[in-house]
Amino acid sequence: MSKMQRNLRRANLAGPFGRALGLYRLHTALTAADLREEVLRLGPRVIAHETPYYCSVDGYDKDPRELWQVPEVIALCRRIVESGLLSLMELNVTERNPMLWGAWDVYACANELIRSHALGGVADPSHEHRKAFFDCLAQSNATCDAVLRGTS
Amino acid sequence: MAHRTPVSPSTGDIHNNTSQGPTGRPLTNPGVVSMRPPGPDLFPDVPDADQGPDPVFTTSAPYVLLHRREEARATVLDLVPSLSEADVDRELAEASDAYHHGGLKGVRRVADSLARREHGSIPRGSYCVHLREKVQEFSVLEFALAVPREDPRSEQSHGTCEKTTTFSPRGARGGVGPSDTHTVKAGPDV
Repeated sequence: MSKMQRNLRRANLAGPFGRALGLYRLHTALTAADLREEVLRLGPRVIAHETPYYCSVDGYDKDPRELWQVPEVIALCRRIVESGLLSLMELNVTERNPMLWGAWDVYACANELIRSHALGGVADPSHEHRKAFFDCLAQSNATCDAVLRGTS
Repeated sequence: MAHRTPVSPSTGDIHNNTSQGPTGRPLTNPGVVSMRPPGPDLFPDVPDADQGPDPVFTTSAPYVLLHRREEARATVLDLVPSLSEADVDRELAEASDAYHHGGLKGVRRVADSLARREHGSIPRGSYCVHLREKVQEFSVLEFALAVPREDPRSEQSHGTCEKTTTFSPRGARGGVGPSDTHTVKAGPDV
């Protein structure tokens, strides 16, 4: 386990929001291996309790850019998608709190869909994007299954 | 376009962490599908039609939702063995679309259509109940898996509005406790 992961685990366990709210704090330094370990750790909890997670990204509080404009955050989101962690996140957490990210937001950030197409500012993704997101979730589930079964 | 709400308006229920379905039967994997209590008609497991859209919000992870959706699809396939997978998928897509736009009436119609194609007529009894239930479950899960049709933030100024919240992150930034109330921008617009 990397130092970064240890620190984040500590933060996630002792963080001000606690586990009950499902907030999962991420850092852009998390590697693919770190995220795979998180799938192993969080997967059984999500399956047993059916409580998905939503996330925030540590740091960048003083960065004037939006998170989805930060290349490191985009890269982190891509690693989340590839690791299968996406499947363990709540789909649409922004409906409850626009300040947090769920699976759709992570996917959109990873694929640089945010404000990259003309939708008049309304988050009504096209049928094409919906289908691509759905396919991505299916792939993420397969990855998640493989990781949890130890075949990946 | 309608917002989805965090509970089913038909029942107010989200059957999280329950071990039994609304009919008292154990659910294979409880916690996902919200259904109305038994009604007086022939098919007590299936909600009444003509009640308009029945948006269901679940807080289950996509991992759980997708697996349950596949289970529902597999059961429907088992119930109509003479139909091809492509045919069934087409019907299920139609049921999901009907559910999304018009509620449960369309879902029931699709289930009945499947039963009729399999048996030549609509058989009464548990077969039909089960088929309708599974088509409905598939549709509900498909709905739950859909990304939002409309973003509440669109009512604001396209994601750059100022909003006071107990969560400080601007677009999901972390590291600040709930006591830190900041004026922040809303998250990303897609």
